[in-house]
Amino acid sequence: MNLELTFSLKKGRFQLNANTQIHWQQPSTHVIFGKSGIGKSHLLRCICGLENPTGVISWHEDHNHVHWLDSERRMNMACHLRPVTMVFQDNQLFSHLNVEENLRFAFDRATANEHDWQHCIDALKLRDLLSHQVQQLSGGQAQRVALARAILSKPKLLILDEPLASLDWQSKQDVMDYIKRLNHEWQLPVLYVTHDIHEVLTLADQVIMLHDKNAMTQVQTPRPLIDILQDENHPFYGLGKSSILIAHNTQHQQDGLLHCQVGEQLMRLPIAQISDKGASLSSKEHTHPTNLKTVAEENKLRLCIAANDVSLALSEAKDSSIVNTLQGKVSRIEQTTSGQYLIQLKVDDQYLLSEISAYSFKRLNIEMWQPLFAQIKGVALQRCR
Amino acid sequence: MDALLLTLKLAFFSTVILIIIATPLAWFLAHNTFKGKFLLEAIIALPLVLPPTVLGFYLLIALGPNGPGGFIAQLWGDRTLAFSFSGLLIGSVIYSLPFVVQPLQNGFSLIGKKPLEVAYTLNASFKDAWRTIIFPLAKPAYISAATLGFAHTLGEFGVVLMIGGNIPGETQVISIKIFEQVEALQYQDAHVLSAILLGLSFLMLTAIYATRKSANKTGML
Repeated sequence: MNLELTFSLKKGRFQLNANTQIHWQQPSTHVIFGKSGIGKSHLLRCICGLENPTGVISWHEDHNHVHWLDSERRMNMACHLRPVTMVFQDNQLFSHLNVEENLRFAFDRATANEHDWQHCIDALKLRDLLSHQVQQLSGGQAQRVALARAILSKPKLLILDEPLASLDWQSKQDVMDYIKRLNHEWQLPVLYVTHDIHEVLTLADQVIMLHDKNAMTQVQTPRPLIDILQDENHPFYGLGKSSILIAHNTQHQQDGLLHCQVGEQLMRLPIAQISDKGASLSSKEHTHPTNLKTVAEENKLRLCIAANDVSLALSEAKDSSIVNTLQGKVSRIEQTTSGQYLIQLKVDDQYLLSEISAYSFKRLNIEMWQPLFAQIKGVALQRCR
Repeated sequence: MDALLLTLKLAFFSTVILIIIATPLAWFLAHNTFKGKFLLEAIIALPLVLPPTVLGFYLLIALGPNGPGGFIAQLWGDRTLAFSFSGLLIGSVIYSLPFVVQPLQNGFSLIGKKPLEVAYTLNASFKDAWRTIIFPLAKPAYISAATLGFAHTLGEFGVVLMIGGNIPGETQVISIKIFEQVEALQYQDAHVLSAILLGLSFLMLTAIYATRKSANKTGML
């Protein structure tokens, strides 16, 4: 699947330029990232057909090539004909319809069948809410209904416009769990817009940055998240102060631990620990054992590790409570604005970030390419394809 | 009874025409900002403050043989649109326009553009979205607008006096008839008609406020 965006939108003094291809190898999540007010929503509205830019927007899928917009040929497909559905920040459920009627609104205008309906209601745990008025729903519930409504309209591309922005922390985790499953469970390619770095780290497969210069916003080419985090020229470098490791050979062990490998090195992830610690980035996976199982069955895991959860040692500690130690070499040293040091370790062919105090930095006398042991306190577990 | 029937007919047709004209106008005003918007809004609101006789006077000239109304009337061989039911209808529509536009504009502002856009993204066409989303959401606003438009036309006096004259069955509406009866000291008849008008007006306003209250309760307005 491929979305070609070659257009510009002018609104007063604001201008948005896009000249890029967004490609989905398989259903995956591309995150559009940019600060508030940069024009992220305008970009989405252009894709949906709610704005009228000049240029070309086209969608390729299985040798089918459909132009949604082609200004030269004076062609602009109406929004309701484009196979895109958007979930908005503030759920935007129809207030004169109850939950079921809201869902039926989408269902009746799409090719979804009864099986899709039942599956969607069950997967998003909406059965008990069907007869509720939308005003009775909590923020998280409403966003779940909005998500279900979007799924039931059977789009070829699902766009989520900061769907978590107006939710409290607990609802955020809850809704995030469902968003993570969109690619896999509904085979939906997703464009996800956010200005929250944690959401990027949790969800993104590819990242599309928006940059502005003199009120002109430029849409940049998508790049894999893992690349970006390791690119010191990229603004994300060290920004989330988290690193992402891809672990493979995942196995559930008899002792209840999850074993996996980073390069040649073994990691043991006590599931309870993962979940507790992972709460800040991942979610309460332990309440969704099925979710975890799917992840494990794919045999690859994305480990999201906060830099301040990684401490460094000159030798491997045998008498520590910390289970996971990875050996690597210092590949970059950087002093952060807060006076801490951010050390990048090269672990096989992957990178791990550690944040340590200036005092520790001096005491360990860290130099480039020095071998070190990274002790990892907490790991957040993500799905990975 | 002629006057009462004529008044109801006038109010009914005025309201229908007004709703049709005011819907796009109110939507446009609610969701667009443009240079000179205030000017358009002021023009629409003019009948609120203008003495009906002034409005009636200009209408009389516009509808008369030398105005655009006369030109239109010539199309079917008449000399003037004044002193006819169609002239009265045109006058009522202009006179009651703000009473219909404003509640609709407020309603549309409250609803916003979002529900329509969401409906589009869920594969609903323009017609479909208006029928299933905007009209139901704006129902309280439409009830207010229609009732106000109807009631206001019902009570019209000055404009009708200026452009309608007093032709029984053609332009003699109930308010004019009451005036005539009082002039002729037929208080008994004036009492009956006044009571009817009072009752009707009160009923309609009660209906507005009742729907407003229930609309608030369900959070629709």
